[in-house]
Amino acid sequence: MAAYIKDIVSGLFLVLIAGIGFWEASNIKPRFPMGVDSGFFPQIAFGMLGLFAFFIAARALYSKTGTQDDVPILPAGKKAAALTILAIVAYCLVIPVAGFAIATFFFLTAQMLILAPKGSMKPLWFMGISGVITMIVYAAFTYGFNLVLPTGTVW
Amino acid sequence: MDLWIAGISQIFTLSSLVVIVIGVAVGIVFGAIPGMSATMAVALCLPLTFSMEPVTGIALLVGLFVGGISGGLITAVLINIPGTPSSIATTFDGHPMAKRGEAGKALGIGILFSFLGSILGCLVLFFMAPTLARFALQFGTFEYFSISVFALTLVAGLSGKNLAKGLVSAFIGLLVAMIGLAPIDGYKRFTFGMSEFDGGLALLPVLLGLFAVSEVLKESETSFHSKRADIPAFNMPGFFGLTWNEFKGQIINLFRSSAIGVGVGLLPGIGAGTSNMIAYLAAKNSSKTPEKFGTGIPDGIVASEASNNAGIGAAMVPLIVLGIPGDSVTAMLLGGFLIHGIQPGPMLFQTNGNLVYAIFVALLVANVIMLCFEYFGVRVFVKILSVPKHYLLSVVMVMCVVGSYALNNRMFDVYTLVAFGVFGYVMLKFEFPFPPLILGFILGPMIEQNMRSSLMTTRGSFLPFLERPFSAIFLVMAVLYVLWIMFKSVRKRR
Repeated sequence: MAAYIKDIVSGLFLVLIAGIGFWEASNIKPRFPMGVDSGFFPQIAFGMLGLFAFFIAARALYSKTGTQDDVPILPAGKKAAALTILAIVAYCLVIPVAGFAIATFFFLTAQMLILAPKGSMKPLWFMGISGVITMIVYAAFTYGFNLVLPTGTVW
Repeated sequence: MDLWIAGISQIFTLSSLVVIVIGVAVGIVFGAIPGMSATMAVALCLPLTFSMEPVTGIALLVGLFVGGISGGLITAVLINIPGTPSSIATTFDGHPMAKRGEAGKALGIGILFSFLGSILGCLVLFFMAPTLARFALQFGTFEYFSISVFALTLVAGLSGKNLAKGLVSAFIGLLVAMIGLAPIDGYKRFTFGMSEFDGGLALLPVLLGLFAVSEVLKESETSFHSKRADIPAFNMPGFFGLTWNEFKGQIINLFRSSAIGVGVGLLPGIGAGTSNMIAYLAAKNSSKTPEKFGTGIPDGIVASEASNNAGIGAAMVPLIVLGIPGDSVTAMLLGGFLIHGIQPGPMLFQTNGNLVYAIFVALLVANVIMLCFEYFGVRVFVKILSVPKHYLLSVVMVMCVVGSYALNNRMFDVYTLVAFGVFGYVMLKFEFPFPPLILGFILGPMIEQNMRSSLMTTRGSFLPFLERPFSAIFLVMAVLYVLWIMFKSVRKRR
């Protein structure tokens, strides 16, 4: 995506958000007879957000130049980033079910597999390292720092 | 003097000294690894302070801050990649020296002048903060509103390349801070009917998401083809690789660069990432042999390292005196203060003077430890650089989850972390800067609370904001600053 198109897309998206937010803020009922009510500040903030977002989009549309450098990312890089997001989301959804220790072990293994360079793919080694790291983190936080870690229905 | 003695007695305990040592060591590692930073180090270690005494917890964070800023010089010199933006200018002369076989000397100079710059910055903090705090006691809601607006405007304008994007980022931060109960009347805003939103979003998951998770995602794009860096062999002869004459020849450079670092550090938003460049250019412009800059001379390293470290003490001044963080690291430190129930501001000197002076002492101690660690242990830190990224990034993510959960023992904070991590990644892709969002998030409640309290006393009239001298000065400065940036932008395009 060209840099100026990114500015147009982000600007227009934020204008939309600002519009919805402003409408929501204007529905806040005044409670306080003195000064300003709780809707005043959000209205100002949404209004200004919409104004500057519109400026970003309009400037990009008018000049056909973006405010950023267009740095290309290799397809493998995009895939790694997408898989990392998926792994993180799955990790957070699995924690309440499997518990911190089990979820962390699987997350670490998966994450290492996603991020490791091709020549360094060692699934069994990663599983071993993940097990050790999970135990260290669990022990350090539970017994060392007396913090509660999430438990799941499994463990 | 009593407060100094109280501060010394609080820091010179086994627990405080141990956490400062650990903090500095971890900070140096984070500062040295490209893609990680002092900000991330402080954010990840914040949860570790939950179970600590406030003084011990803050001492750890101070150690991380000092280590994180100075650690960047190691990679800057050895592999020509600055570990943090604060060491960019160090690469200009540090790496050419390393290529010439003088890596040890370059590191020695960087370490020594980092320390000296940092001490000068601390002296500014020690002398300036109490005086400013006494003065700031006169400030009321009008002044706090205006100062917060000014700080936010400055950060928005100086972060990134585009003022509009900085301002958009700042307003997003303000709006995120509005989720939950409104100040003054407790009206529920933008909670979408979910009770989890009633208390608003916690600072730590938002910070960790924006600064750590988004960085993990960004680094994941290149991790699969990263190679181990080729690190040159080195040794550090004599006194930090310097002769007495060479040291004497750098004294003016040290004071000039430290003064630049202090000046930049005092202002919100600019930070060490810029001060090292300004100091480098100032050193070059005032040199009799400017053509030698960039070829590998000590002057460039001294300028960069003295300035970025001098900013540490200076950046603490607005945080401690006004409760207003100037950059992302001090925003994290503010998070650390708040987690321990400490509200920075001028009253802190009255209510918790011992703690303030303990922070001063912790800063000094952390600098001495940094000097010793980097001088004697630089080889160990170089070894850590060779740990592959796929291990580091995976562990960072787990630490983020642990930190977010441990704050309130609820998964909602973990979901907030992930949401802001992905949001931060999208912001990176569209080049919207983070610091204004963080400052907006932190200052939002302060701005709204002070504005509404002020308007209650004036019965809705805005005029008194301009009738009070300090309030008017800061508001006018904010407006002039925006106009100046716009004027500069228009002139540049013509």
